[in-house]
Amino acid sequence: MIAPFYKFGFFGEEFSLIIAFIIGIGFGFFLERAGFGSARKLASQFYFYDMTVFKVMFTAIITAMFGVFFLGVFGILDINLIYFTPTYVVPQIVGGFILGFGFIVGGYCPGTSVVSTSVGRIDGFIFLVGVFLGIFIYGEIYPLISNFATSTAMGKQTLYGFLHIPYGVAVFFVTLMAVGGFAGASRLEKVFQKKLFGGEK
Amino acid sequence: MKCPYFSINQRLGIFAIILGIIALLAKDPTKASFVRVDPNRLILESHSTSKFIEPLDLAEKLIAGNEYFTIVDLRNPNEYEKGTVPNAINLSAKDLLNGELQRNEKIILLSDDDTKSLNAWLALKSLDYRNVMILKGGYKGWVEQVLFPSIPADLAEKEKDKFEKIKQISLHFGGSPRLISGGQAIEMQTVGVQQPAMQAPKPNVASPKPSVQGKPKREGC
Repeated sequence: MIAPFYKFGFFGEEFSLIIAFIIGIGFGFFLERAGFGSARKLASQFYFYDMTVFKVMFTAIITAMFGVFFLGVFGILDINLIYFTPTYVVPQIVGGFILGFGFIVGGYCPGTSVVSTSVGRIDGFIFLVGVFLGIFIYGEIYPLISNFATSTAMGKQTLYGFLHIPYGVAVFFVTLMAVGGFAGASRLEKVFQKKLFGGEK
Repeated sequence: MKCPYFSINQRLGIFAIILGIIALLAKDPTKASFVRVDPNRLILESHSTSKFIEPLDLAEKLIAGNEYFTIVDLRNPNEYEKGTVPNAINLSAKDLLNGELQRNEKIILLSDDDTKSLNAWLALKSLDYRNVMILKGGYKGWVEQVLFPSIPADLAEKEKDKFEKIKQISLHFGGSPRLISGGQAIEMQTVGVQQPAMQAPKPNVASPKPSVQGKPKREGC
């Protein structure tokens, strides 16, 4: 069997939803274990004294990157069939700012608010209500902003395609970036912990 | 096992860099071939007529709009500009095999004649594209059966319903049915419709797949 299984027709839409549910539970579990059910932990990212969010997310990114790349090399995964969210540069930058604003005010991003609700935090639950309200409002006003939402379309984009470099080279540089980012983040943590808490935390 | 020299973070970092270096030297996985075709199945399918779709059936599907498929016009861009089936995209035989289409997509091929479509069908099938069909009669078939269908003028009561449907389909696509009496066209029905919309649909810049029909795929996060 070659992945992606859904694209090759090994199972249908209903079963793919069950798979998605199981993967979702796993995702939520590890977010919780990383401490992402707590708004304090998440928000501390923005004050640079606890860079766990950055580290966990970057770990996830490069783990997935290695997984996809090497499964492709070994002929287990057909990379050309993986779904990419199409790129719309300006709308996605604006969307990123809105999400970031909500993140710093509310202390959660959409996924972590679900995690926090499921471990019984009231603030997470209220955030989740806000998320659904936002989705509803977006859906209602979509006809008015649809022109903007689909502007600056670039279709399916990859880092290596965009930069015209071989895939393997992109993997190598992202790895260096991640390892460098980790080392940098750890130093930053120490500096800001000292600055904010006088070296005791 | 305790390593006296490096912390666990440092060891993971070193491991990642080693994987990165291997990736640098590995072959490009996007160019890997995944074709595993059963020749027996291919022979059987190439002899069956079920791979053809009649122009009127396609027209009905397009009107219903609840199926997701990609219509590929294999003719040259000049002919495509002059007129094509609604929502069809224009791909050359080369583009076709360059991974422009996805293997699980429902694909309908059309061309000047069925031989060209059949060649493309065989090529796609041998690359393990699952669901490929051919528009019977190509664009000519579409023009003759959907845009300008011939309808007998002296109809039996029983057949009227059937031809009324064909007429409605033709009008929907901006065509005009011709009434035929004894083998001669006696009248051009235009019923408030101008010349058929023979222009190719404008290429949709916002969406990379202008051919998406009806229900969008549930994908992404």
